[in-house]
Amino acid sequence: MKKTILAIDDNRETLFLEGIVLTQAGYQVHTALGGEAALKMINELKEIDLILLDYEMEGMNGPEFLAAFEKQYPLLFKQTPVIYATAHERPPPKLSKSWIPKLRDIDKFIKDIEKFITP
Amino acid sequence: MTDSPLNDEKSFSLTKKLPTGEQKPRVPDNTSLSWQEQAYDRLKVLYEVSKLLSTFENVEKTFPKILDLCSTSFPFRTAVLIEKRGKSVMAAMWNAESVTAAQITLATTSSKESFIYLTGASKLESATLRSSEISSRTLAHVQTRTKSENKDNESYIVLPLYVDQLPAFGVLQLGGAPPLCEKDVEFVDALSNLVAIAIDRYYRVQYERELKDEEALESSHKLSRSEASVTDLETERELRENFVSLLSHDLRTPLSAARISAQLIQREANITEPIRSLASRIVSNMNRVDQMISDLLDANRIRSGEKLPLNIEPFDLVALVRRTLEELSTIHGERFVLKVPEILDGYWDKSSIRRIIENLCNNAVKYGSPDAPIILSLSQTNDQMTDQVTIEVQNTGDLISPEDQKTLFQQFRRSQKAQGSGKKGWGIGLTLVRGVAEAHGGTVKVASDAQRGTVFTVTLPIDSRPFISKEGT
Repeated sequence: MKKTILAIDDNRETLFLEGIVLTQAGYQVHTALGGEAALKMINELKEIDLILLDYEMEGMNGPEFLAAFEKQYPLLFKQTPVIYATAHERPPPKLSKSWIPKLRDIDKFIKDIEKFITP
Repeated sequence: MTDSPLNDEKSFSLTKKLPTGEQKPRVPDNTSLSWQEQAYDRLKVLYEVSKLLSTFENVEKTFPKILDLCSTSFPFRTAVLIEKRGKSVMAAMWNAESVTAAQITLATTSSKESFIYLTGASKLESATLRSSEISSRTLAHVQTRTKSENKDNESYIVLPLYVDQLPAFGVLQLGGAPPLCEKDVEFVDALSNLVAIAIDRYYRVQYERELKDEEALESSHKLSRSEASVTDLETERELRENFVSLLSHDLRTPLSAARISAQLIQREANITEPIRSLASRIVSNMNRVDQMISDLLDANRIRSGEKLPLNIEPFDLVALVRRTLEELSTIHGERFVLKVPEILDGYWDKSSIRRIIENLCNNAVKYGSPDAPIILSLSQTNDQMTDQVTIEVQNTGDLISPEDQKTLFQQFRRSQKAQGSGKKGWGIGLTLVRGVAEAHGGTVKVASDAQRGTVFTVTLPIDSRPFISKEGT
C-alpha cells in the first residue's frame, strides 16, 4: 500500500510539481491549495501518512493551519506527522515542527522526504 | 519701570511709578568748592557710578542710586530714563513725584529720534542737533540759548543713550538742571556714556544668553534628529535586508518550478537526445542563477552580521579540492597546480568549502596573468594547540594595491584594477569567502608582492564543530 502525502501550498505551480515529483517517487499524493482547502480535505481523506506544509502562505499560514487543524481534528492531529517545507535555507525561528527545504531539486527533495517516510 | 507701547505719544502714560531714589533731591553741597575740589568730587561720583554699573545688574535697578550719587555733585530736580526696546519703551524716574506728564512726553519724543533735545518745559521749543554736530561746546551753547527763553525757569537736559554711534536706544533726561557750563557737559556726558554702556552690555549679555539657549535648544533638536536618522538607517537596513530576502524567495519559487520542470523532462523515457540535452542546459543554467541567489543571500547575511548556516560533516578536503578543480579545469583549462598532502580529514561544511575554492580559483583566473599556472596548496598547521588547515591560492600577474587589500573583503567592493579590468563581478565573492571562513572559525587574508604574486590564504580549524552557533545549524 502506497504511503499518502498531503502537500499544502499556496503556489499552484509548486503544488503541481510537488504532486508530479512525489507521485513519480511512488507516493500517493493529494494536494491542497492553501490551509482552508487542506482542512476540508483532511476530513475526507482520514488517513494521511505525512503532511507537507508550506510555512509561508498567504491567508492562513503554516502555524495558523496547524492551530486550526488541532482545533478541528484533535485526534487526527495527534496521529498525523507534519513537516514544514520552507523556501528559506534556515528554519524559521521557534519552529517546533521538522522541516525540509522546498522542492528545488528532485533527487534532493526525495531524499529529504525519505528521512520521514518511504513509499 | 513700565512697559508702554508708544504708538501715540499723547496716550503715553505710566501705569506704575517705580521706586525712586530720595524723594527730595539733595541740594548739591559743592557749590562753595574750588573747581579742583569740584572736579575731584565729580570724579569720585563717576567712580562710584561706574562701580554700581559694573555689577552687571539691570540698569533699572541701579538707576535711583546712580542719580542719588550724581545729584550730590550736579544739581537737578528730576530724572527720567527712557529705553527703547524693540516696539516698547521702558521708563524709569527719579524723584517721580515731581515728574510731569509733559516731561515724560518730551523725553519719550526725544528718544524716538537720533537727536539731542534741549528744551524748556512750558514751551516745547527744542533745539535739535544731528549726531555729527554733538560736541560739548554746541551743547552748552544750545543749552544757554534755550535757557534764556525758558520762562518758568525749568529746563531739561536730554542726554542720548547710545554706544558706538547713533541712533540712540534711549535718553536720560535731567529736569531742573542749571545752565550747563563746559565742565558740566563733560560730567553729564560721562554719566550718560556710563549708563549707555551699562544698558548696552546688559542687553548684550541677555541676548547672548538667549542665543545660547536657542542654540542649546537647536542642538537638542539636532540630536533628536540625528537619533531619528540612526533609527531611519536601521529601518532602512532592515527594509533592504527584508527586500533582498523576499526577492530571493520570490525569485526562487518560479526558478525552482522551471528547474524541476526541466528535470522532469530529463527523466522522461520517450524523449530524443537533443531535447534531453536542452533540458539539461536549462537545469544547469537554473543552477547557476540559484547559486547567485544563494551568494547574494549569504552576502546579505554576512553584511548584517549573521553567521552563515553550515552543515558540518567529516570529509577529506583533498578529495573535495581535487573534484572541484577538475570541474573548474573543464571551464578554464588545465591551469591549476595542486600542492596537497595525500589526505586531509576534518569537519567542515562541504558546499561552503567548495565555494571558497571556486571563488578564489575563479578570481585567480579572472585577474591573474592568463597563461601562468594557479597554484593551490593545502597544508596542516598547528597554531596555539589548535590543528588547522591552510588553503592557499596563488597567482601571478597584476598585484593588488595595499589600499585595495584593506577593503577587498567588503561587500560589493572590487579593487580599482578589477573595476577597470572590464571584467564583470558582483563584488561579493570575497565577502563570501570571508564569511564562510569566519563561520567555520577561520580567517582569510591576502598578500600581494612582486616575489610571490597574489596569495589568498584561508585558515580553518581542522574541526569546525565547536565554532558553529546553534542558531546557524
